[in-house]
Amino acid sequence: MSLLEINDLSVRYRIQEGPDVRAVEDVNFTVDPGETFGLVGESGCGKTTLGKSLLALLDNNGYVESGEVWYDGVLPRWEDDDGEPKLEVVESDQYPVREDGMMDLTELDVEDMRQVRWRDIALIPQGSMNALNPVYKVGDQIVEAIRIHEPNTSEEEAEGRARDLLERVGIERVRADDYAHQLSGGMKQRAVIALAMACDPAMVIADEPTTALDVIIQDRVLDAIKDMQEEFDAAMLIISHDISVMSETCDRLGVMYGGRLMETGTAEEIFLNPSNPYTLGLQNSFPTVQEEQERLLSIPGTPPDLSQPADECRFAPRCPFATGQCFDDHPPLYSVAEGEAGRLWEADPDESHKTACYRVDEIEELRNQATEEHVWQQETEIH
Amino acid sequence: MATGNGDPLIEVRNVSKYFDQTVGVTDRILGRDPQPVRAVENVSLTIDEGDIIGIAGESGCGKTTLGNMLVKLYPPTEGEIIFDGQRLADMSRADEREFRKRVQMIFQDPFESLNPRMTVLDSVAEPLKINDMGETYSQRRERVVEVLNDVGLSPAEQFLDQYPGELSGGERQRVAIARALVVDPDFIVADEPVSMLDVSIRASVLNLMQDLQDEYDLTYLFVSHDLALIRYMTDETGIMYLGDVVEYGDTTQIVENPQHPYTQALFDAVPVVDPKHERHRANVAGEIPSPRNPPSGCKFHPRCPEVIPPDAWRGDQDAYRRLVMFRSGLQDREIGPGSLEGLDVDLDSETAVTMLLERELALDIPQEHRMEDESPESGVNLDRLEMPPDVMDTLRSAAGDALQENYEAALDRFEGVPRSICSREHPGYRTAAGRQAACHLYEGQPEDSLTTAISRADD
Repeated sequence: MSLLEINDLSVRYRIQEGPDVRAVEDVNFTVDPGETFGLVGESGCGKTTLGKSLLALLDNNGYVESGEVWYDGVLPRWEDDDGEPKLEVVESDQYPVREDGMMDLTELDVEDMRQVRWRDIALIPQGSMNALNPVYKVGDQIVEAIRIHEPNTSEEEAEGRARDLLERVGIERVRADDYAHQLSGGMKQRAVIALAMACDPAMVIADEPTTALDVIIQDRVLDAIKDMQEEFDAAMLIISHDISVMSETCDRLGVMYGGRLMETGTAEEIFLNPSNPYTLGLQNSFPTVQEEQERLLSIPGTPPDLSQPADECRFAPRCPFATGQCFDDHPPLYSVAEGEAGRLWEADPDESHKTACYRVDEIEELRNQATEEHVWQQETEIH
Repeated sequence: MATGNGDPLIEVRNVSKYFDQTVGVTDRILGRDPQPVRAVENVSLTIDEGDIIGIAGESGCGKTTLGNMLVKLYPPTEGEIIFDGQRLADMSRADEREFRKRVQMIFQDPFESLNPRMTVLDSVAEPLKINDMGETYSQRRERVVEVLNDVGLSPAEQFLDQYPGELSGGERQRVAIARALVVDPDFIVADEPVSMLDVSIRASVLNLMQDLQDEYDLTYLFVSHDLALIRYMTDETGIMYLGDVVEYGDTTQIVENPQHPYTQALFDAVPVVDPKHERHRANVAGEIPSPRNPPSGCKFHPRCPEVIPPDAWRGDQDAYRRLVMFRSGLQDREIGPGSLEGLDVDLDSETAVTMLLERELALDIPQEHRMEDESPESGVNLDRLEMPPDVMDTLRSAAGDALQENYEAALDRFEGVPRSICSREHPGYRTAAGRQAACHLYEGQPEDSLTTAISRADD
């Protein structure tokens, strides 16, 4: 069973003038226990909004418009002595708990959500090097997190655990007495990872965990994340724009564009057999160190205005392969396996490789054409 | 791509830049000497007309400082920069006006480098006014339209009256490029020109800069931390570490076969897009030291996987590397009772000394480079190290001193232990596999200065 199941999630932002901004629309994906799932996309694609909405951390003007976020676990007071959800909670409609014991996070109120954060799902926020409080010792911040979420822990025990955690991410135990400014950037990032792991969460959401770091430090921080994840057996949801980091760290990926999930699959499926024109375009525009590239190809145009998106595939205005149907409606997720066999079939929910493209039945042809520069130049006019 | 075929346009000769040389009141009372940040130290290089040169390195390596000195944002502390035969330091006002026209800069953040209250027309026309180019408003407007079309903002008329706030990131950066190009410069320093842009937009801006090079006869200096971008854009690259250019040469050669151990580590650390590819991880320990007090000799030696043992060394190279790291840890006072915190052990005991050595002689490097059964938490098995017995005794005594926080005494213990050339001498440039590397590994090769080496390579 999945640990997290996101069903048709839509998130919007109220703005002063005009209709609400549709930052995330009808997104579906699941994360299994212990798995690393990556959400990749460019700025403004809705990936950070999605991550925040899972933990009800949206800004004041943001709200979940529709959809559910099912999490495999319930609040402590809804558990029986074995840690299973109580029968009455499962059976009554009063509680947002399904028959299989999964709980809808979007239905929880502020107080209940606090119980879930950190204990069940921890967050490594964007720019988390600056997430440490400058006037508290690093160790004390971990102690505080442990004692708030596990009130039965004694001061000494929490202190010991904090130092253990720091040591495991490669920071000496004495550094627990340091303040944030005494640590280097990479160490701060490691300390935030230790902080996230403080209550042994089943899942960690990491938003751009290595973005401001230099490559060598980034390499080590990624190592630290991987080690901690294995040790704590936690699932990860990594949000990043960095395609190469994602390809190395994630088991499965979702590619987002304009608030929509465009393609999802295992890292190998996405990178070796990209099956959405947007993914194909991204690959063309990404410079790599490994090989000599004659010419990078950019995707013409700019991302859509999400306050008044048209009823079309979100990528259609920039897509060189868009045809009539693409301008009528945003496509559902189709099966890539069927598409490769020349058929256009909507994907089963548990199918691995899915793409939101009406032309997936011609995918081989699209992949060939996508490597040609002239294909992407057709619409180079700039809006 | 055009390669250095022209005459030297810019010569950088032994240039250094130190920041923050003043002393505060407290320091003066206490009689402390200033400890400046050595942002750039003794860098020499020649940029020929038509070259595209890259400067790469991690944050704090001095790459931006070097770029800023080339456009005369501030003068070097030592050394000289010569632009088209003229020393930057000796320029008259008139010369400097001419220089400011011929040399332009493109900044990292197009959201901050454009005045939000100026229209595109005003922004791009401003350099023309300052440089007294274009007599009338309509002449200037005509020139602006021409340049906007060149940078792909067409039809230009549509953009003239827009404010930066109305433009996308890619469009803003194009305006910033237009602003640099409008005076028809010879040399452009681009400091991380696309790092604020999304991937799908990035490629078009990079391609534009390449196309404009031919059209405007430009010479570029690209400053970036992004090695993939450096590979895509540049002909020749300098890799910087703590203010030094440690390797310089043909970009493709450097990327495919780096010679300096730091360059190797840097490229090993770059993630790979192919999910099937298992890359080697960077074999480098620790973090970048402070540029206020850089290590002696080769600045990279305390972290270097290939630090050279002295001739008199009787152990293996791995043991020597650990010794160097331990010593540098003592110097920085990072090794001490704190290292054993949380362990129930008497700090005066021999057990404590052993435990300290086990932990501090262990290398904090990726698993593939570690010894079997070695880990940063549990440390390294001392019996496995090929450390000469007398040196091990020295290490034990020093560890004992460190546990008492007696660092002077601990460091004195190493008097008799032979020291590596890497920690004694700053390496000069040697030719290695067709390029310049500042590393003692290539000691057998003839010594070179970057300038002469490059001009020779061009002949």
